Amino acid sequence: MKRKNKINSSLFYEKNLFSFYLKKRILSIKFILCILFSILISFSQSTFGRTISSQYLDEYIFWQKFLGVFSLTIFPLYFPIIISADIVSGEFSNKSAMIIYSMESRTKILSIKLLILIISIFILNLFYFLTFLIIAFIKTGIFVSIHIFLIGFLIIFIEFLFISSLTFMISALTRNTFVSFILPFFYISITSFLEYYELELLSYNSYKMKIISFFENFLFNEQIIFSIVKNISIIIFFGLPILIMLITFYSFKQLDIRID
Amino acid sequence: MTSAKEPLIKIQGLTKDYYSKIVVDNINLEIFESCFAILGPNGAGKTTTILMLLGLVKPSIGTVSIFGTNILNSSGKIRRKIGFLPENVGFYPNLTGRKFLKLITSLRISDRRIDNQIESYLEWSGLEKSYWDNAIKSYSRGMKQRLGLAQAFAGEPKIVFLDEPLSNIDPIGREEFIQKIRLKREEGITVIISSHIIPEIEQLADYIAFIDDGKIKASDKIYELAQIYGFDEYEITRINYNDSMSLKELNELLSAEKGLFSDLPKVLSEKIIFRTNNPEKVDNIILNYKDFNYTPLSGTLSKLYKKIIKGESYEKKE
Repeated sequence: MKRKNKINSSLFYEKNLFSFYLKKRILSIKFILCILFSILISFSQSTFGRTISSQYLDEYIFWQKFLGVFSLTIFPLYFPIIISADIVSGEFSNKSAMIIYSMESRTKILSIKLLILIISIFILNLFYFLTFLIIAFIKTGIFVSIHIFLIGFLIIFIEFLFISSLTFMISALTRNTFVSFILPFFYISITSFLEYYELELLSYNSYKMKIISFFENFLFNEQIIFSIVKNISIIIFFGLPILIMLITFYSFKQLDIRID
Repeated sequence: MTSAKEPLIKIQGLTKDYYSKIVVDNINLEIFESCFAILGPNGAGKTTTILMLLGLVKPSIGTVSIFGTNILNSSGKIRRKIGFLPENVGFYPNLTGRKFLKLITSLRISDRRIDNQIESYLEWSGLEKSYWDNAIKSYSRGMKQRLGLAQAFAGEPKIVFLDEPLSNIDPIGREEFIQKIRLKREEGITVIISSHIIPEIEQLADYIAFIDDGKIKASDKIYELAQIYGFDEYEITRINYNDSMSLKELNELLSAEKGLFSDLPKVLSEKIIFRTNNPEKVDNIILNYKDFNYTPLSGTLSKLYKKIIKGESYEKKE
């Protein structure tokens, strides 16, 4: 009886599924390669002299140069796509979808997959930022201020999460790995064109830049400048990934699951 | 949970259309503990019906209740009592057969019982032992099908859905699986099979639903349908040798029932062939003897199929 209660109360079956998916994701070659490449990119951004002040490290090296990489080069943004593209569709392409074999509810399976995705993105981001932190310390003997580091980490994590959620949505709704890879890839690639042709409303990057400038003023100039545009940007920046997830869950629940 | 008299599965007005093309049309069925077959030609709506029963495809109209609960709102507790083998089996290619089976079983029952089940189900599947720890990508289609059957029955499900279960298995393996599935049915597992292969259904099913163009054309116990459509020849076949009763003794037992046989039964070495107008009474007697299987005469289902699905001329008995 005691054993039975333990099984019923402690998400026993969900844990089994979670650990299976987590192992599968973390030990996959593409995830390991993404981590290695992110370390390499982070390493390549860490070229600076030995005698710098703490403020120079925080403001110029970390905030402007390191975080700026995500705006200047789109390369790191492809990693979340690579990690997320097959997360749902991969199972359908080899007809191994757990929804079919395990009979668990699709919301539960999708939630577990989403959790795995967030963990993967977090780990990827952690490697990226920790590499910078460690190399900066080795070269200069000083650490980036913790609050500045955490805010920078959060902004890029949310950006990664947006790209992942977009890819996740396409992966779940189309159940086609190629489509779920190519569409977000295309979106990221045309971001600069959207901004160039004054279609900034469609560019997530433009919202991110407003957030960065807001926090830059707050952290380095100790000014809090709120405006309608900034407020809306903050809402869209943090809210869009959540909205995409909600749409994904709702739409996936309505889907007919067929294996033809 | 349902009581003994309530159906395990209740289907009410089940309809599915894709872009205004109706693929399943107003199906109403009640399925009790048995082996229930859905028989029909390709594209008749069998797989769509099964997928709706499993909650994978949403009905346009109608409901499916399993264990008294709408499948679309059912909890994990109910879903874990269901096993499924899809028509096109596919697995994680890098997992071994053993690991895949362990994963599926671990999603249905607790750890303590898993280890005992894995090897027994791998053995049950007939998969060569040397392949148990090989990656599934090295398996042939038949081997994957065997593993698929094992996963459908592993983890103590109460209802197992099999969509074209024996299509990739060699003839000898097919015979073996028919026996194995029959034993599972005797253990109390309700098996729902969708197929267009008549001989395997003939040997397995207690109840049958003929489906064509998304509509149920006829549905009942096989011997009842045979009777309705004018086939009154049946056979009792020996399938096991556990009881001491011989076919001759069984024949004497049945013959003692007044008016049960319409004419003199033929007692062969492994079967009795006879005519009756009261197949249900024979069924009630045979139910007590597990060594014997009672079906309409071999080939009857094929004739029934032709009459019901293809509409070949027949004189329906009133």
